[in-house]
Amino acid sequence: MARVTFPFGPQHPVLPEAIQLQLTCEDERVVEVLPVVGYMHRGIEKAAERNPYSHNVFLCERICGICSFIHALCYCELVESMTKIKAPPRAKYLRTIWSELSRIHSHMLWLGLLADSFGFESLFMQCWRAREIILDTLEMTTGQRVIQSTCTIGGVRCDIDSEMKPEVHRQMKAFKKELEAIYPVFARDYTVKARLVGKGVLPKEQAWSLGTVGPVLRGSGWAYDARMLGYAAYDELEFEPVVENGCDAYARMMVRLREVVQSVELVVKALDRMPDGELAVTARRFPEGEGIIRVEQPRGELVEYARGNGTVRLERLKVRTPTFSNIPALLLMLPGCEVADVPVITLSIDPCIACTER
Amino acid sequence: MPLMSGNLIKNLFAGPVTRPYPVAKRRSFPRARAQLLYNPTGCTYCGICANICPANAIQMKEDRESLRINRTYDSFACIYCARCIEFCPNGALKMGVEHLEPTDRKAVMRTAGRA
Ligand code: SF4
Ligand code: SF4
Repeated sequence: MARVTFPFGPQHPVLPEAIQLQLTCEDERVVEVLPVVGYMHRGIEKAAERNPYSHNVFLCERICGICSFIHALCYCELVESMTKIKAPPRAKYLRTIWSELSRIHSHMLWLGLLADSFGFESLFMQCWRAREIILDTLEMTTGQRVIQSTCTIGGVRCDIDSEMKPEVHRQMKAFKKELEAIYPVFARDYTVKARLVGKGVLPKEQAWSLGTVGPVLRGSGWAYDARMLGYAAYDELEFEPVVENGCDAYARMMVRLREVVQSVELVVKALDRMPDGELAVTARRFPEGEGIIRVEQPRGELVEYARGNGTVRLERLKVRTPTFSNIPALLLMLPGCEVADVPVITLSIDPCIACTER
Repeated sequence: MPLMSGNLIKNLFAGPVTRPYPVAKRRSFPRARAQLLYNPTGCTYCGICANICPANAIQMKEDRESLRINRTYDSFACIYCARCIEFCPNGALKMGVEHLEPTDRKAVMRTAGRA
């Protein structure tokens, strides 16, 4: 059988961002994959070394548009640990709420894209319609839809006050209603199952040894989630990771779908339990020494490392994003599948290329 | 598909979720950060906003010859973080909630003050 090599991407209808996969096929079957990255590099880590450390919050937010709040939270918690300050309890709860709202809107966006990738257009529209409720909630509470700029070193910059709280509760109720209509379609529909079950299998042992993170790891049966480490207010919200044992694209989809439900509950719980108090404390010194932190993004575990020398600028900021750890697993999932399944399997790791290349 | 039928029937009778944009606009949220409003008469050209702006959207330059300070604000570089508003000691800056119209031309706002 003759082998044909052709590019998939960088411009492809299912890829929200530019990555190229060079696929080698025999007939309709993929036998080899080679990823080509580097289309989205922006030099953010280098830019972070030039900025005063407090400006980097806004820079870090721009690593990824979808999980911008969590990037800012990660950087702020890292610098807080290096400058030896602690965010006040109310700020921690607010951070948790906004992180979870970001997670919901990221997962809803992804669920829509997945439905779009196998041609289920009406489901795609409904996911994005539901997501709009979350974006409105974010804009109402923080002032911006996507890049919130509300996290700051030492706390947060705005509050969800008692007037706004019932409105957020109402929005969450409205979202839950929309979600209830979508959930059974993803979970049980014949079309969805036909395109996802048994596709892109990643066995449990390999998921661990390849170092995958996030829903890819949890979809292969590992109960590991960086939120279990208890940063922000997660230690007070009885958080339990969502795990599925299917090891295929369907299991990964179910992890994300169930996480949306869980996140809604976490938002409501955090809103109810939020203590009163101040929103931020001021750092009295410059970051010094080294620091490392792990937080959970919608796509998996994010690791940030920084080294400071007691001046206003950091010496080094290193960001390891979740898609970076999940691409090796993708290269294992693709060989053996049909060309028509490549978009669905590629999407199943929820690739965020702008994050990966920074 | 049968699982979708309930949703489909509901959607059939529901109105559209989108708006005919320039005709009908969404109501802005009171907290929305959409425009940076600047009042030059209240400004003392202290330069704090230019120092703390993370996007370098505000720049201050001294003109030694005419003994004036030139302040420029580039709304296209601005990320609408509202930091300058927090730090301005004279309340010369304010956030507007109405989003700017799309444009095809970039311009910066220049003011000068203090002899
Ligand atoms: S809003 Fe932010 S980016 Fe814009 S001018 Fe003010 S400080 Fe600079
Ligand atoms: S901080 Fe306020 S008073 Fe000072 S230069 Fe900026 S706008 Fe003017």
